Amino acid sequence: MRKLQIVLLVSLLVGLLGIVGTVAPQEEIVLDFWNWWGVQREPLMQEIIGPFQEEHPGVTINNVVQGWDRRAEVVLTAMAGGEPPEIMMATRAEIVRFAAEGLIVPITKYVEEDGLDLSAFYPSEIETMWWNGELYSMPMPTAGGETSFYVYNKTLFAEHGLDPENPPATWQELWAASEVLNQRSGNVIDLMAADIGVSGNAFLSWLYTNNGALYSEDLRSVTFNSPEGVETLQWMYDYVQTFYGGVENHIDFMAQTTGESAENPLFQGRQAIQFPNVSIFGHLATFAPDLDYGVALRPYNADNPDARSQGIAPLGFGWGYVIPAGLSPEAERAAYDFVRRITYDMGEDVKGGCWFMQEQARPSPLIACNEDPVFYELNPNWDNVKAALEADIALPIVPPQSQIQSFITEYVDLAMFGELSPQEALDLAAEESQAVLDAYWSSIE
Amino acid sequence: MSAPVPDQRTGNRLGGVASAPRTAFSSWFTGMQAEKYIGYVFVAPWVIAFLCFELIPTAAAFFFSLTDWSVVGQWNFIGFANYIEMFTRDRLFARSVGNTLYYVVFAVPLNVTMAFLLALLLNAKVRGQTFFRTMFYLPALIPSVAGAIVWIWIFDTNNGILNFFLSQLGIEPIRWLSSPQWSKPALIIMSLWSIGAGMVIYLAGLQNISEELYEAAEVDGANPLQRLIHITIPLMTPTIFFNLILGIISSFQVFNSAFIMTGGGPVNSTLFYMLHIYEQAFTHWKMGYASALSVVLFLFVLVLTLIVNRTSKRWVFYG
Repeated sequence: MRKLQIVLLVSLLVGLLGIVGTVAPQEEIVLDFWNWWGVQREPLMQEIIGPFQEEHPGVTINNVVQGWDRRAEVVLTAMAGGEPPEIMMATRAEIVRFAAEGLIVPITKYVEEDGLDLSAFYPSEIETMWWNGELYSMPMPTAGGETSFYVYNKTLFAEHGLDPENPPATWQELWAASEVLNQRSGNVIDLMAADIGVSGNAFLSWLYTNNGALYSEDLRSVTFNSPEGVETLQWMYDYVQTFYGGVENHIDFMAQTTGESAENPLFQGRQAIQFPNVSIFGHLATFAPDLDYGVALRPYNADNPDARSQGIAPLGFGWGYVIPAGLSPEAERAAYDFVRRITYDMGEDVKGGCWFMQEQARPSPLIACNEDPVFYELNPNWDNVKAALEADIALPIVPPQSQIQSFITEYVDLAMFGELSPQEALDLAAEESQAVLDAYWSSIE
Repeated sequence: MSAPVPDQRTGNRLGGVASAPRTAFSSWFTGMQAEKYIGYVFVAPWVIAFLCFELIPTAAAFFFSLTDWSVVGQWNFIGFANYIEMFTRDRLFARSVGNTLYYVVFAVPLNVTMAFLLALLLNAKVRGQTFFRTMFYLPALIPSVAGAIVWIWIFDTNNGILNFFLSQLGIEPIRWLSSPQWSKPALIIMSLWSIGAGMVIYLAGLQNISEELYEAAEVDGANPLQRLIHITIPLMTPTIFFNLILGIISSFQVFNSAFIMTGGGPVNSTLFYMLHIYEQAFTHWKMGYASALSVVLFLFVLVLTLIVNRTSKRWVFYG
């Protein structure tokens, strides 16, 4: 009888534990992760997610790869609809705007709790992730390397009597090399010496190699119409007229060419110098594995004693990973942990942001990651790639950045088509940009 | 085919309903009321979709046009400030209006005329008629994005097929997409790509014209041109009017071709009104201002449509 009582009690206890276990299971945290790492990068990201989930029981990361088509609409609609994903890849401009609107949470407290050393990143990379004294993300991939270097075809250099080991370092040397390399039959460019760019963004890239600046240090004034700015735009205009025979010939040459295909004129030997971003190395390996290429820093204006070679990181792109406001504390912490994994974490057995970049033969925003010997095996020009990242500066931007850049783009266009002089174009762009900037600052004060 | 037989007990043509167990509700519903209300049930999906996706967003656009809403943040009521900005400070507003009007003025008549002429050709009883109709209609089914990519190749200055044919006639290469002077004409030419949709409507209209009229005219000695001018065109005016209205409305909303092929350039020469709205809303996050632009477009197209409608009394023949 007593045995029966014990059996019954034990059974009851087991049953109750089972019921309790059923009623209050550990709540699973499901995080939708929107990103644009498609194609061959999707399985790589999955390789990061797998171990992360094993280390964080109860956390599930849904890797949601989005399409590029009308990306801005998708992102804005998700945020405006109040149904954003728990983690979202975002451009630097979006990060600043979301932060200014209070739509994303800062990660400063988590970074401090974890004792992360942010100097592990290139200064130009991590500085772009701050807004108003708070850190909102950590970078991956590199924002730098967008504008600070160029790739050149060594074979073409040698064929034209130029020293392949001494590529142009200044505007003046670039001009001289272009005189040798460039070939044009009327309006058709047969061999483009260098694509210096004809857009507003190209102007800003060259501006910083002439010691110019987009804004004053306090971000209250636009300064791109300085004498350095006018000199820069005049130099670009003269280059376009001299070597392309006009901006329209440049547009025609670049039509149907993309950096991400075999149609890239650099790969085809129709262009000697190209100013790409760091993704070029992966494309070179894929589409032009036999091309003998070199890497050098963006030329600067040697006539300006204060000028030096530098890139602006990042003007157009520069990616981070944001956590929208409104998550539970547990979900927010888990989201941060994943952001940390895909940006900061590295190590021999860690599949994180560093590993993700190495698998793509791209440099990482983490300085130590780029010291890995594997990069030197993948890219004989690796020292120059690192030098380009070190030469980058963090270009400060403001929430109405897109409007200001659109003014610059519009007026640089007008100058390139000869409808306005460089001075007139930049003065008009500055006037309209300043009005937008003033309106912004007055709206938050 | 015989008409449905009314149910003997209720008179309801939907006899099956009457066989259900009778309750107070079913008695009421299966009575004469059912026929009265069943129509509402059938139109309900459309009405609900119209309310959710058309009327309410349109009303919201009117409201947000009076705010500084940025899509994702808080908004403030700013009265008519957006409208004042549009007409006093936004240079690109005037530019986009000018570009769009240029496009509408040339693209609409060209499309209406070419679709009509094509329909006339394809209405002729020739061998392979169905094949030709299908071929000419096919581009209308191709997504505009894919079509735009094809046209980028066609318009290529140095390697495009269009310039190749022109060069055979001794014409110098035209910078279709890289020159501010030619970019709009290029997109107008490209708009012909989708005339298949209008052509099908014209074909339907042409087939409704009685053969007897042509036979009578032929007996009276009318030649083909006279038959076209005095029979076909007058009797097709309702269809022409319909296509004209559709053409005006869609041309004011031209977007995809410029968005994909030129991005509004060169030098804003293809910055059409819809592209300007898109830029304001999704690039600059000025949804309140973009709403104001949309309201102005809506009102302008509405007024223009009413004017065209008013003129129709003079030239549209509903005989």
